[in-house]
Amino acid sequence: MFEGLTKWARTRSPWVYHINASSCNGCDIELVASLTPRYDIERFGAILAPSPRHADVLIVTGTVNAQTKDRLKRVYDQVPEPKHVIALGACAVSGGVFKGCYNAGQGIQDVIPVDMFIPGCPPRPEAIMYGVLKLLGAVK
Amino acid sequence: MSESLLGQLQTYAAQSNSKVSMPRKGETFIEVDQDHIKDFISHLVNDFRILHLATITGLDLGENIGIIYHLSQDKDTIYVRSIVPKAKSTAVSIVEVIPGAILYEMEIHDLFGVTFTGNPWINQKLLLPDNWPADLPPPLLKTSKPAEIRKRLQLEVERK
Repeated sequence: MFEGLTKWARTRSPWVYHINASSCNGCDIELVASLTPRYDIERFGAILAPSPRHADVLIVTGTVNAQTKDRLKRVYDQVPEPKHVIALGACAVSGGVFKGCYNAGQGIQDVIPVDMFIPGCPPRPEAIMYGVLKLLGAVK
Repeated sequence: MSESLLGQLQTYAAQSNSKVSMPRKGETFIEVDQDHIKDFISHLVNDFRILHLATITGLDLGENIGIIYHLSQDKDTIYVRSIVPKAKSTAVSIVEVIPGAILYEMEIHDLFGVTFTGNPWINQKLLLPDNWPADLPPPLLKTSKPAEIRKRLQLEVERK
């Protein structure tokens, strides 16, 4: 009985925590645009959580590098189960333009497991909303 | 650029056996050796009031490392080029003349391994990650291999 209840609550109010793993801020601005009234992802219950310990969904932007790798892993470990990760933007998906640089990785899936990839440089707010809703549909 | 400054630069170049060239309007290149770089920059700053150091860039020339000081005034840019042999890899700091150069010199030390004598922060890291192994070569030298550096930093992961 409680399982159904928690799943119902979780899919109707996914709390989002955003972490910037050395992004250029392009994706971060688009994510903010999707949260603010024009696109308003909050009508699906998704609000920004102040701490990863309160979050259900972790949204990661930017290419992972030697400096942010361990920090990203630590933040991921703080998110309580069940947790979902969205890689937002070309850099988080594959390394983007920084791929091949001496200190850049090849996307965040080498560091933490990823449930949803949203490509684009930066992705449009519609794409971000589509990705989040698709992830919620999969969780259901 | 004022005619007097260009004339002075040409006189300096003739005296010190270096080259001054102006390939395009507003862009002047001058080569200065390391022993005179501090005096020359302070001459530009104090006597000609060229106060804006846009940046300092490094260049791997094979045997040597080129250090280019980009100074600008209004629409003119003066590129002061200086050459440091890779075997020695030490240069004279201009922090006493232009305090803002401290970060540019740290950047060149991080990425090209040139030590600037007189820069108080030169042994601190600016851009490289905290876990950077001390025995790795500076990353922007042509001889260093990005793939090997990534392996050492544990960024190369086998994909299934």
